[in-house]
Amino acid sequence: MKTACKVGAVWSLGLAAVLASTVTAEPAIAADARARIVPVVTSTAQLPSCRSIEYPGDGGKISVQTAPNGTVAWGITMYNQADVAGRWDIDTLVNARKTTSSFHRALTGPYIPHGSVPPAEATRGGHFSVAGTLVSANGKTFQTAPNDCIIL
Amino acid sequence: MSSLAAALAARVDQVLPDGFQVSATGTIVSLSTPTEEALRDIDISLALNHVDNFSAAAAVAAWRVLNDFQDDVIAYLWEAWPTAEGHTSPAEAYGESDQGVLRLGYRYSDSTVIDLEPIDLTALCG
Repeated sequence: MKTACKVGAVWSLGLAAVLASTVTAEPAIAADARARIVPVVTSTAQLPSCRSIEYPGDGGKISVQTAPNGTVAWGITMYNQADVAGRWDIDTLVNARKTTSSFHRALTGPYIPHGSVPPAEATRGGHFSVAGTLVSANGKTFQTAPNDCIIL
Repeated sequence: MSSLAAALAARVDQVLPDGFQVSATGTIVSLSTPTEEALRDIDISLALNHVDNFSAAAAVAAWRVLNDFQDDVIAYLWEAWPTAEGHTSPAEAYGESDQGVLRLGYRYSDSTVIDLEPIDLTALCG
């Protein structure tokens, strides 16, 4: 299936400009922040909070929320349920290192891949992100856009 | 971590609804169903990426396996699991390590629904 993944067929699960981001190396930040921070984001202060944020993209959106107990919950909602069926390979990362929360499986019907990361892994002040791909059964390939946020 | 994976798989396998199976290969704990060979794989060694001691990582690993497999069971059966009389929502997974012993299962705030056999972490490390 990977050989069928052409650049033109790559859609974003997160930011609308994921493809452009890949090509032009734009900053890995939320859509609202992109409008005012250019071109590079490296400091904690410039990233959004993981408290409650959505990263809308071309094909779907990534949602991240933090519960009062510090658990970070994440989910990916596709706009078109016909795109959901296929092979999902999603990891979550804190400070660029994988956590135990992931989603690696094939889906055949409607679903919202999701998970949660306990405080032991989602340490306060860390950078949280959701990363991976969906090779949809209908031939499209989706890729998560940059979606780092700060765990508070 | 591979010994912990095997211990977790053996315990969780005993309490899941009929048809679900849990196995371990190395540090990977896998859930399968009658219709899908591998519903989910969890690499519990990833817990060590963020937790610096085995005992705490074991607690994270236990919670991860119980929580995510519960999620899959609920999605597959389309009903809450596990539950107890007087409750409509499913019990919550827990994994806690204290003095070398890992306790794990599913519980409500006021009662335990499934209490799995504790795991002696010192034996696994030895």
